[in-house]
Amino acid sequence: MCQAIQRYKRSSGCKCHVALVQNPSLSRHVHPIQQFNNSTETYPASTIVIASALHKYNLILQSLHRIARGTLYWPSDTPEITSPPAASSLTRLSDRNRPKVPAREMAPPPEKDKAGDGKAKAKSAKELKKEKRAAAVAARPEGAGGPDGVAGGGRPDLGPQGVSGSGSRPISNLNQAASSSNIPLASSNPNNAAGPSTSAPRRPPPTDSAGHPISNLAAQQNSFFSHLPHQESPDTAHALKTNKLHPIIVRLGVLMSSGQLRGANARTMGMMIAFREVIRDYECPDQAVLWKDLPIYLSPMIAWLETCRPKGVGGGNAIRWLKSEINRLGEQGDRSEAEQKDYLVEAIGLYLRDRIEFADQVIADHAKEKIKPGDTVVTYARSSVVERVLLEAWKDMREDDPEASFKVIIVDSRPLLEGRQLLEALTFAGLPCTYIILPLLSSILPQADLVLLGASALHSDGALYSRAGTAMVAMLAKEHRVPVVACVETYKFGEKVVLDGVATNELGDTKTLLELPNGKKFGKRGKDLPAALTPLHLVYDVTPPALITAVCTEIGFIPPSSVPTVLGKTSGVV
Amino acid sequence: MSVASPLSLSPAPSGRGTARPAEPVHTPSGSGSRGTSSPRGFDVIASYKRAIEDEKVPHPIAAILALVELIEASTASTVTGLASELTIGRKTLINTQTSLGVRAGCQLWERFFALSGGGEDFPAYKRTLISQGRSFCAITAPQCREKIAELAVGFLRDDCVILTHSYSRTVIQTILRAHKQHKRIRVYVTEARPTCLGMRTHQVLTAHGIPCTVVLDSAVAYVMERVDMVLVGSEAVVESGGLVSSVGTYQVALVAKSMQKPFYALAESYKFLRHYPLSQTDLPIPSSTSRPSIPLEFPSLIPALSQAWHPPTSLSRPSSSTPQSRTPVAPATPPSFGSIVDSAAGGGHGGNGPTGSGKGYSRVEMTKEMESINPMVDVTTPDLIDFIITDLGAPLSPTSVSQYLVAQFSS
Repeated sequence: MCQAIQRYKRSSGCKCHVALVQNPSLSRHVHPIQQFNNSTETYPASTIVIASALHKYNLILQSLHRIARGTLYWPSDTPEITSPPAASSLTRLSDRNRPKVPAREMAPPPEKDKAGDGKAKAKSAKELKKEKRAAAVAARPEGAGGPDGVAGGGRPDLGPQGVSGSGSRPISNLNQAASSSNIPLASSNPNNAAGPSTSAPRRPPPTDSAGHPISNLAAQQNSFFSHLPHQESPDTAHALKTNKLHPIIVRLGVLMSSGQLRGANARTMGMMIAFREVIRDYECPDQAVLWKDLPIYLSPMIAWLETCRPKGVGGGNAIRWLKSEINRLGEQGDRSEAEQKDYLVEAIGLYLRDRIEFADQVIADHAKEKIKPGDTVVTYARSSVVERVLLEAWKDMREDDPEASFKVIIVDSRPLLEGRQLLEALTFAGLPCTYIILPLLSSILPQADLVLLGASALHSDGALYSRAGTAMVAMLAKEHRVPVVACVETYKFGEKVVLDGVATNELGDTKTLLELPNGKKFGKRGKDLPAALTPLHLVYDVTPPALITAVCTEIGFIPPSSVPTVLGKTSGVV
Repeated sequence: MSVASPLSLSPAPSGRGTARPAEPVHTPSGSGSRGTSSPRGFDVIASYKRAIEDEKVPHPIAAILALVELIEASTASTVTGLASELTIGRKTLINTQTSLGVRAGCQLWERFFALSGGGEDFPAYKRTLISQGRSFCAITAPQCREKIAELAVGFLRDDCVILTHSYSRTVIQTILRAHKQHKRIRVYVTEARPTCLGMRTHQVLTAHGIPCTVVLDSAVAYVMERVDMVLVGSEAVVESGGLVSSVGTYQVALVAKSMQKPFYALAESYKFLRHYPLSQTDLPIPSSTSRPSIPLEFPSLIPALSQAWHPPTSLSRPSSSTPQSRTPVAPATPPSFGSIVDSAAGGGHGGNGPTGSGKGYSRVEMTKEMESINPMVDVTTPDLIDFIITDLGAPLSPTSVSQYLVAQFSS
């Protein structure tokens, strides 16, 4: 793989991101892990790594991770979430495991970086820890007795906190701890809490010979849904060989396809940040014109990202906007290449700020008005916007009147169980929460005053395209005449009309679907799935506009029927 | 939606693109010191009250008039200074006046102000603002009502029976216009407690020789089967396409829907309000001292209850004075109701005499406190409304209200 990197380096003139693919924290992703391990072992790492490059890379990486921490959902059952045993401290664990993973040993960049300024030092120290932990997790063989049952929702960087008894948490993790709660989720899933000895990681790596071969599952997907894009691990090695992909794009693709970067906002932000870096590193060939050459340069990356995970309506809108911005460079006449790149970089920053960050803020300002003291708010799964609305509403209400309070009912469902992340964030803020799964909703919903939903997209007929299960929540809410408010930024408005969740959807991971909460696998161990079984995991569903009372956007509350008007206005502006 | 802007007072389109914080035209000499204070000695509320005294002036227009007067009295020398004074005046109005129309008017004026942008010459700019505001209130606004009547009269067939709720100048104007066209119209009008403005509608219509019958609010369902269409006015039209209007409209709409009678609302476009109510209580009505913020809450505990029950004898009848002014057509509710109850329950009991506490039920009327916790307006949901007839041209379906508002207010 290093050859691939060097080829890339030569061909694209990129000096900076070479270290990127080698960064051991990459190996926290399930699928590429083996590839990375195998390939890096064979080459001495010192061939390419440049300290400054690594420092810059770390900064980018952190911004990606910052997004991820805000909106990132760790699938509850990927092996990397496994927390270290309660008794053993993190460092000891990684020390113990280090000899097994020579690849970690030969990753000098953090040490080099330590020699830099103080800030970089702290960062790299943190990175180092992450890497160590990742290494430990990666090195742990299947069924090594890891108590991965604890806190299925724990994030890797917060691993130890998921374990209630671990007092030996490194201090440097405290600042990360602030972003999450210390409350163990054990109570919400007694099965997991009770059984630290349940052996196997619930999601074996695909190359694991003992587990189910992935191809088998894929073959058994329902042929009725065969037109939908799969979520499968991208071929990173091949992608790097083509020389056409910037390494950060490859990394982003891995983050997306592994489900670490989840949620439309997080994915779009990640994508735009990655493209900003790509544009920064881009050097226009002598005979070419930037605004003509850059789209050609970007298009294989966009295509590759699409194979990792469909970018969705929001991402599609962002890409379309980026291309139109590049085109506008052509109209602007004489400017140097650096100026043009600066312009694009700045424009991307503004786009991220205006269309996502500020938009979320404005949506939170609008939507929190609708939450009154004593209300019961129902929300489904997890949306970064809804989380923000609830937290801000809580903060405001508490400031006005310390006695005032409202209640949140978090509805969740298998297999992703994203609501746990929301639960963690809300309970940490002190919000009274109830956590239920979807089947219970019909008993609970009559008490509710408001249903708040997030979305992946809002189509032009007003249909809400969101996490599978949302339509059921909205349907029940309509039945009980509870107002349903969807919080959607306008950049997620799509011009298509979507009538059902069959024509447009995504196929999720079916492995997680078949695993039982107690850690047991479906059927007999080591056997293929029965031929008669076709597991189906659709990620999204479509909520018809009739079920939605109002859409809260950054331009205010609108009925779903006004989406075309908003679309017309925004497209007129662009 | 290619509808004409209600703000046909829209100035030269040059200012269209300019954003809200218009650049100070003059050197910002005074804006720093005076910036945040409203002009000295000018009382926006008094000005609004003066404007609303005129029978013909609706709430939004009165609010705009008050703001125009504020500009006249303003001593600000920059656009930003003027803007901040306007904002303060607007907030005072919104926070003190319970009518949602005020809010709609203020929104409209603020939007107009933001779009007007300003020119090189501040005094001239101020003069144009004032003159355009005045001409809007004096000419355009009355024209709106005229135009609505013209559009709506086509919906009124000869020999039709109309049910209307409470008192609306637009509805009356429409009916009168149909009457002038020699259409035979008969009107049922609800009494519309507690304001009893239905009586005023009755007065006006009978004075013009239109057959009109006052209906008890509770008899709406009874009379609905004889009605051809329901025609109501509104205080404000909200972004969902629903109406905010005097309490009772919602139930009239519900009954009309269930009996499949067309329900038309008449609303001038300056009554459009950027607000999206999710429930009846979700209205931005400022809580004044007399009215609670959330109407019809249960009394907290027994003390409040006993207060309401014990002095029933001493309470003044809430509307005992109104019946005298009413025309005899109406079955005046409280007195006859009271006497019936008296004779039935209390035997030969005297009307107002202080009785034993055990017989408190003999005079069961609402106390002032009970009335005061009742809402003045309700929200009619858009699914019950067939059309909203406005001055914007063809009748709008409720969904296009929001489309219009989005097109107007988001830039």
